[in-house]
Amino acid sequence: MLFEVAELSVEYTVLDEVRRAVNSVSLGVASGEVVGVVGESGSGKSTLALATLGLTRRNARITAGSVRLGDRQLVGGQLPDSELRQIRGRRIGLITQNARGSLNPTVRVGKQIATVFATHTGARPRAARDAAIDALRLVGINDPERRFDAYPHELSGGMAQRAVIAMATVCRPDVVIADEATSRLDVTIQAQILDDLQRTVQEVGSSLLLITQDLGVIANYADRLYVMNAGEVVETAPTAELFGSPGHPASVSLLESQLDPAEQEFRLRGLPVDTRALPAGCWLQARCPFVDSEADCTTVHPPLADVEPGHQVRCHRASVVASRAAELAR
Amino acid sequence: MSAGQAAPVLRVRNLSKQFTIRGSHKVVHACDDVSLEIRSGQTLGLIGESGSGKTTVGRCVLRLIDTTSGSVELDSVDIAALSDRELRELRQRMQIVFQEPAESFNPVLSVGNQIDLSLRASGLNAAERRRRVRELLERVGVPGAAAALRPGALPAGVLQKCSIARALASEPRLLVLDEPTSALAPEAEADVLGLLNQLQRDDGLAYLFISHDLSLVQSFCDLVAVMYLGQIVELGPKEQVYRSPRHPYTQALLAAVLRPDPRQRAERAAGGGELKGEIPSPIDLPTGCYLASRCKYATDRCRAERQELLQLGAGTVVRCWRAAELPAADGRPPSQ
Amino acid sequence: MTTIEPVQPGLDVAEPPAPATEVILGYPSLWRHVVHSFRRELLPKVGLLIVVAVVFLAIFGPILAPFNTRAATNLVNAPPSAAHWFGTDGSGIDVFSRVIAAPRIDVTIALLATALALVIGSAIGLFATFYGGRAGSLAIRGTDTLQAFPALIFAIIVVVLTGHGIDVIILVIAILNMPLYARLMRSEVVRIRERSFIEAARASGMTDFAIAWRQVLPNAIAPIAAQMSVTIGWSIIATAGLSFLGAGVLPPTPEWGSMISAGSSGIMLGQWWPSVFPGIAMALTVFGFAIIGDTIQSALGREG
Repeated sequence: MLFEVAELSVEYTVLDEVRRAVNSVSLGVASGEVVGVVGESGSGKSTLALATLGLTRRNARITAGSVRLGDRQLVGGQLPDSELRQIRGRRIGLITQNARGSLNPTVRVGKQIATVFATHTGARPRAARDAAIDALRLVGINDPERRFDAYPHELSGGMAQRAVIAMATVCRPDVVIADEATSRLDVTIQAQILDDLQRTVQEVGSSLLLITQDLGVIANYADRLYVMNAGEVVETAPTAELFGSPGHPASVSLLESQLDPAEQEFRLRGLPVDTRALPAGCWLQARCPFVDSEADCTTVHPPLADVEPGHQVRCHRASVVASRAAELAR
Repeated sequence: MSAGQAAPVLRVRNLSKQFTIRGSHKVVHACDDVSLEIRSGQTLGLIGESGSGKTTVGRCVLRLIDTTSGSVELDSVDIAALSDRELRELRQRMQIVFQEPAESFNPVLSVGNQIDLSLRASGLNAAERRRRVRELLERVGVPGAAAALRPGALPAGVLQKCSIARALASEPRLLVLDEPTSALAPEAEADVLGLLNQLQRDDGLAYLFISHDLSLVQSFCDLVAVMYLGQIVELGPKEQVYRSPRHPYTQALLAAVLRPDPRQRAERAAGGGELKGEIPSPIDLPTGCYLASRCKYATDRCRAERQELLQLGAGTVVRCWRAAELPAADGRPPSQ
Repeated sequence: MTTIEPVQPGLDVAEPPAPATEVILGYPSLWRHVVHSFRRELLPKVGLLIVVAVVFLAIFGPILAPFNTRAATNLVNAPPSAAHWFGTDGSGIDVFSRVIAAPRIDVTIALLATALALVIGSAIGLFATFYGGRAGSLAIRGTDTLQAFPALIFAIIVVVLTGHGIDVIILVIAILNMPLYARLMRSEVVRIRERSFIEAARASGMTDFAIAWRQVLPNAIAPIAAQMSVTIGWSIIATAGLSFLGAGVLPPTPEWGSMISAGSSGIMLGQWWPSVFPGIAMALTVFGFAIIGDTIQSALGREG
């Protein structure tokens, strides 16, 4: 595994109340892979994404676990901040939902990309400019020499997002993390941009971690995925396998949300789990339609267990869930 | 659903709205010649990408902004002709639900208080209003105790239901739903849509459902209108529009939707059907068909002549003179 | 029917919540941050203590004073002793009694002036900005002009010309502070009026006035509340300053500024107590109000 997260936990504190946003999450991305992380809002996906870069919000902290990129321990090791900063942007690129938020409105777009390149590689202005123009071209921006001089507000939403992708990939990072990178974009642009992102990532030789709620995106671009709920990984499998035979109630619930409301049988009930007070046993017990105290659901916190090679599920009743879910697969 | 022979709840005729950019003579054509009708118990989905004008149509219908030309009739009453007081009364009959529930509520007042404010015009006394607030919340499936909470204390899905409760307070005939579930997670979305369906069945409400989510509109709406750069390019019953879209833009739009189906990956790799290029600026609109610069079927006539809506069989109109002769798209509906 | 229970910290985590209960995630409102700051840190508590003490003295000070605060005696300029804790001043009056009687004037002026400035300034800011139009811009320009006046000089001139009444002092201080509140309110209204819930309110048929009063105002209060304390502190200093210059409250009315002024000549002779004690009292009071204002401000600036 090129990029490996091991048992990472993140907590944050609001007014003396501690919320466990990420709980002992382990995931890995191999070189050249596209991996998806999917889950309802509040499942901890975005907190996870930031934490892997050692970035956390003001009132949050990483309480356990480690993150490794290649041979470097980013989190959980003794890496000094200065080195971590060098790795960010150079070896890991981050793309967030709000493209314009990542761009300085007062600096020309091309210059921003060139600056990132120069900072990390020490290249001279001319070389940095060339690299930036190449990056713009690669992400599908026509006439990149002219667009180099554009200010962010002069670009449409789709273009701005492409510029951000260019910025994240210009240093040819090992891993690109895209956190809801296309959710606010129009349908036709979304598909185009994801195609451009995928192509860019392949050209540059990076791996891609796609974090999203959109199952359509996952189905079309991810090789493998992790499903998160209440801050932990509840299922992981190759994409086709998970869509075909989901094993965890949370996955089934997500897939079912795409259907006509009248046909939904296995939706998780109620509201997202309150991470201030997690119960003993399975954390989803209050919401799960498959809960069964005979099966340890209320007493033992289920571990991630293999149901097939490469397919793991965190559920005591995984086999029951799988067979019922097979009925609803079309 | 039950579409009676009575007058439509909402009738929009040739609605146009232009904005002048401050400090210049440039004009933005937000909507152009938009006409539609919605009957009691019906849902019309208005789909389009950003800049299509769909949000502007919603605002014009509610007269939150004034139209440049054209008319909007609610239960056959022309809303442009009303005085401020009459308008406030008429506003009772049409309400809006916004995309971001947290934004559409005042953050410092409790939810119950805000629904109460919507009831002030109804003439009930304080105790009756309190009871009605609880009734409304119950109706949308929100526990009455939520009334005392601030918007920030409620999850988005619950808050959006409160938004619907507030809209129902005045017993409206029409609900404008502006991307009501785009900001919600899939499960909350399913919840809210189920509620909206139920309410429509029970009360015969008419819905104007504005959305960019094509699969959603397909499952939820009866009629569909597709907008591009302020114009309606196709309008018809949803089965028609989704199964055999006739306008090239509609075809491309439907083909671009990413379905939660891993098999689509291979299909898309096989290619075809995308629209090239970017959407033209709404300030500098071309003379002829707005899509001509991106459409693979474009001819000189398309570029030269302004396109009008043409009738194309059972209740469908299309703004493309070539629609009848072009091949119908594969017709693979997005949510299958 | 399902019920709601906000989850309390310390809930026994071994007990799984019953399936029929819906748990709502509670995110604290803005004011809870404020209360929390007060509970949490020491400094705000100190400030609160000072303010409470001063307000207490404003009400009960003159009653509690051990000696008459206006009657001259023969025991002139006596240094602090067991009988006279703060000594006596140039007229033989007990300094301690005057120091604790003074808040009634200083604090009253400060509170009333602030209240006036706040109410009028905010009202102008709110309605002028929300309704806009010609009248609105005019009102705002008016307050801007007022702000251009040099404060203290203006105050001195008015007070001296119209007689040293307390009501005049209150009015003058209020007028000087009013533009600030108008501005604060204005910037809040500008921020708020674009938001969706205002549009929703309009769509639901609320009148403009109702929207301004019930929807906009509650959202705009925060920075105003934070500013209040600062204005109170400023008013105390202003009153004291005016009195010090002889343009405010006249002796023998006990007031910190005039006490400092009256005692200032004696400092050269080594008689520090008639000036220093009221000086310390004043400094402490302003400090107390300032801390409170600062606490509120930083608590409201912090987003959970």
